[in-house]
Amino acid sequence: MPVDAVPMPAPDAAVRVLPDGSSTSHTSHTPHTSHTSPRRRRSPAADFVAAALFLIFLFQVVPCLGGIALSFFRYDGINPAQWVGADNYRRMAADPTVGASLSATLKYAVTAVPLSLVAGLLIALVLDEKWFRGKTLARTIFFMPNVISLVAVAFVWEWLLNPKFGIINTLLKGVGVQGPAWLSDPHTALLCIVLVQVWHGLGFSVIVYLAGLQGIPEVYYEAARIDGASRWQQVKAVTLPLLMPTIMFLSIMGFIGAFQVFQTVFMMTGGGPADSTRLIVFYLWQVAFDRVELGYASAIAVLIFAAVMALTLIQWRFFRDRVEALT
Amino acid sequence: MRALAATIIALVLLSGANALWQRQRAGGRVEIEMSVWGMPFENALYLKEYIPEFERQNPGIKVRFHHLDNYASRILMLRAGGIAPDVMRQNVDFGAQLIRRGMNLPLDRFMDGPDGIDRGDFIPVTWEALRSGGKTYGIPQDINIRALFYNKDLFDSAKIPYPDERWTWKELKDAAERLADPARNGGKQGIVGLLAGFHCFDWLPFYYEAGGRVWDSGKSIPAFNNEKAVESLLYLKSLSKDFLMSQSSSERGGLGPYTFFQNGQAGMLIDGSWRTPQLKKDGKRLRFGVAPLPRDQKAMSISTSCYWGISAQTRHPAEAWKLAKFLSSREALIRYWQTLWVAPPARWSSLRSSEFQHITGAGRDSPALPDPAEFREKCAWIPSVLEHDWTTMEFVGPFTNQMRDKLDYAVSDVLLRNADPHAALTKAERETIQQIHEAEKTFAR
Repeated sequence: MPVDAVPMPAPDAAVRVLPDGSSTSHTSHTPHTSHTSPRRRRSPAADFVAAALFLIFLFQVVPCLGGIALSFFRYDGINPAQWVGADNYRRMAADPTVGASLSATLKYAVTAVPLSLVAGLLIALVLDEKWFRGKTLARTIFFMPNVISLVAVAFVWEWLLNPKFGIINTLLKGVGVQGPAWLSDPHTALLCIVLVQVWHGLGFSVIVYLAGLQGIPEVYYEAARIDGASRWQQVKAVTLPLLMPTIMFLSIMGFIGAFQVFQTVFMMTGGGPADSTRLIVFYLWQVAFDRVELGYASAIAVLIFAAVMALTLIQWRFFRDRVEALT
Repeated sequence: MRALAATIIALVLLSGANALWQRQRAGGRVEIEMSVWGMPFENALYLKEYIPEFERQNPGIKVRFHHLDNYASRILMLRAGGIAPDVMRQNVDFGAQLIRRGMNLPLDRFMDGPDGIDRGDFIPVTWEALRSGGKTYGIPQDINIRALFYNKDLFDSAKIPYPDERWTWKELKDAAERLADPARNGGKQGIVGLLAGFHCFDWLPFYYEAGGRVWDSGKSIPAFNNEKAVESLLYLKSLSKDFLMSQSSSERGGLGPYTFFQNGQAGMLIDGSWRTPQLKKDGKRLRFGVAPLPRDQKAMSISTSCYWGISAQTRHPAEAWKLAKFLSSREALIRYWQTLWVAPPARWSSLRSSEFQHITGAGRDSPALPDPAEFREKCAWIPSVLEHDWTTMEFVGPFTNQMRDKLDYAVSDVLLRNADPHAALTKAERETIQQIHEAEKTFAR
């Protein structure tokens, strides 16, 4: 019991003799102490959380709200902001580049996210096998790209993909195949961005999958084995359903990340060739800093937020039943 | 609550202490700030030469130096925060629209005042992008020019005379084909005849040589949708056998077309004058020369220019003017050229001086050019182009970024996807007009 708890009143002081001779004790609603009011004790955890919440509010929530507000203004950072109402949104609806960039981003997302989900799962399944030796080393190797700066990664991959002396085309040439100009060909440039991003983020998926796999009770696999299920049937009937929360998490995070891709595009292609890799965040950056139209860029940011929210809700609905079926 | 109040009070006290310290550091002098971008080794010129000399000549002024990365975005954000540097190095590339939006102070009253400058000493084309509404918003520092780099060994092997200012489009194409053909280039395999990027700035010189222009006289209506544009696009396309090369000379991975030229794998390269010291430094076995771009209807190249602008927010305009004037003085520009030689000085008096031909370099980072013969083959083309007015900045204006965005797409669509040039240019024109219409609303009245 805490040392500063309100002391109970002395028993005799709390007993009251009723007219019929019975007695009753009552708990006084005022403590029988010489102190005037109870000291309320605040948990120190609240202080720590409050500080963090304050910083999050100041550096994330306030700028977000500021960005939304700015989307209703015309502002170039030099002259005072001018209220224009929904004009930026009207403009966005008529801007062909917004549509093209969104389309490129969706193309990127529906390629990169499933690829990352499937590749990450396959690797995690192999690493989780009992016969696999060197799990720790393998996990480290797969996760290493994830800790490297995307700028450095893009730099290295530009060299690998170089059409003249990059290692990929050199290997292809060795088997008699003329490799394309990967980053200079509108048909392959977006694929290269997908490849680099998936390669960079694969380790994260693998680690999360492994955590999910280790949370699946062994008893289900034993039961499946007793029933004569093959390894593939065990994966289909036991692993995949029970991994659904993990898949849901990775899918939602994957799509959110897909709508934020910028560094690889900036470093490797500059949005080209022929706008084939001009993803929506890159276009936002161009509008904000090349064309100095911060209000319009904020409107595009709100559009991205809405798109990501919509995709998240769609996925939530898709996965919800499957996840709830597990409980 | 007490902790929060204590934190806020501490922050206020710290800010006050910082302000006092800043004032004390200035030592009673007027403190002004200047900003530049560039390679870190360039900072030494400002920190060890320019600023100490300026402060010695102006003991009442103290200069704080800032080297900023992501320069255009940074100065914009500083401006939005009300703390833009007093004197800013700017490039017409991004500077023209900032001028139009009111970022810079008009300098006419200083230029034409008792402490003014001789405007006639500056190369005329460098003033083009600095004027808006009849006022001037910067002092030119340098001018860079696109040129034709050629590999002397490959030209010797293919028995082709070196390019010079008499070359036309025909000579360029013939040479490119000959250099790439093992049967005619002395048996060399895998050689590329000509390297260039495929952005609109790679095409614009050809367009200007065909007699075209990008803007109307007010620089607000695009004028690039015409037969000259189609002709020059088709010519550029005819020069290209394939597009195995990287996108542009400014490829961030360090794998622009110049890399192949530097490694002796290409006979010719079209790039800017800034490429010369880098090729000299990194192409150890490369013997190369530089010539003006071949002509069509006329000889023409494109340029951009760096200049010194003064922030419209400055609280010390007179002191800022002194610094800007100092940084663009004849002596400062000669020193800049002699050390870095990435772009020739914007003053005639610097360009025509004997010091212009003495490139001292900056140690390991920027090689010297002591041999007069080597100077002639790499740099003599510059005065020739400028004296004959064979370069232009006509494309520079407040809406250059809008134009470039759409023209980049059109050019690469034609070159890479075999799009019809007429359709591509019409689409680019329509979308540029749309973007300009929207951008104009954000400009200062």
